[in-house]
Amino acid sequence: MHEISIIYSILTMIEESAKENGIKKVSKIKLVIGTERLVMPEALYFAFEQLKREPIEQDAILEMEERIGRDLYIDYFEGE
Amino acid sequence: MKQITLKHQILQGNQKIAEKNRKVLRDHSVYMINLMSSPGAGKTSFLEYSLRFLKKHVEIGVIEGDVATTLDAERIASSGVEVVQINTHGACHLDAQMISSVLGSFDLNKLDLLIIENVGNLVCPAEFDLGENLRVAMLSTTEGADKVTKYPTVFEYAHAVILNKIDLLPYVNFGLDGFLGALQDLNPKVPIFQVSALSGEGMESWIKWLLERKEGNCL
Repeated sequence: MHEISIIYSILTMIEESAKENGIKKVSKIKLVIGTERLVMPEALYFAFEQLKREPIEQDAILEMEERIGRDLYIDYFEGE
Repeated sequence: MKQITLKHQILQGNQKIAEKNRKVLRDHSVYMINLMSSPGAGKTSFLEYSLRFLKKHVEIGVIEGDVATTLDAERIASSGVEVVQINTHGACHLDAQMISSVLGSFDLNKLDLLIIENVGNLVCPAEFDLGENLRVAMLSTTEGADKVTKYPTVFEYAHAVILNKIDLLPYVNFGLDGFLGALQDLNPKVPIFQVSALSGEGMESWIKWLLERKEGNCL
């Protein structure tokens, strides 16, 4: 239900960390989603495609892993 | 190619603000309750009834969350309790920042109890810690007993569960045993209060429990 705000905060965190680590182009973002978090992966993919505007994340792909529990975090991202 | 490990919780922004709220309230000895249910379960009627008794014992403030209008705030204000309305303009839940931004509207030094009536929704509010001490989930008999298993999170992490509109039990097809059994599976220790905010049945034990719980927390 709040997938757009989740993607928005993911992109903010990625942009910040990419800048810190000297990454100009992000190629992959890997998320871990707890099965109890009521988050719909399809809606996350959709929100991600709509919201990735900055050149830094434009070509990035989103990968998700479901795990039992209440986790909801960015595992890692790749880029150069 | 570089790989950066983050392991950052995505809603950590909300969590941080919630912890801040919790600290501000603890510093002022204010106990905060987050009341959640679907629209129409009877949160406002339940609050109105509770306030009549609670306000004899403690100083209360209420935060009303709704998508639009100040209808609920007006109802609560007529109970003679200080109330602030948050209109989310479409958002389906309150978050910690919204609470943080209205805490200043209350004189926290005078307050003992702050009750948040969340936006009517059984899904999203369960995801957002507001800095509360007590999460209360409400279901009403007209909604059906299966809602506990269909919307588990809000019930699983509740500190108390209210079943409202029990005066309608003879007229609606509500599986009370199924409801209690589902809660037993999800949240075995949670106290369950079967009440009618209309007739007042069962309200006394809820109010007594709440006051005791609040006292225990503030000691």
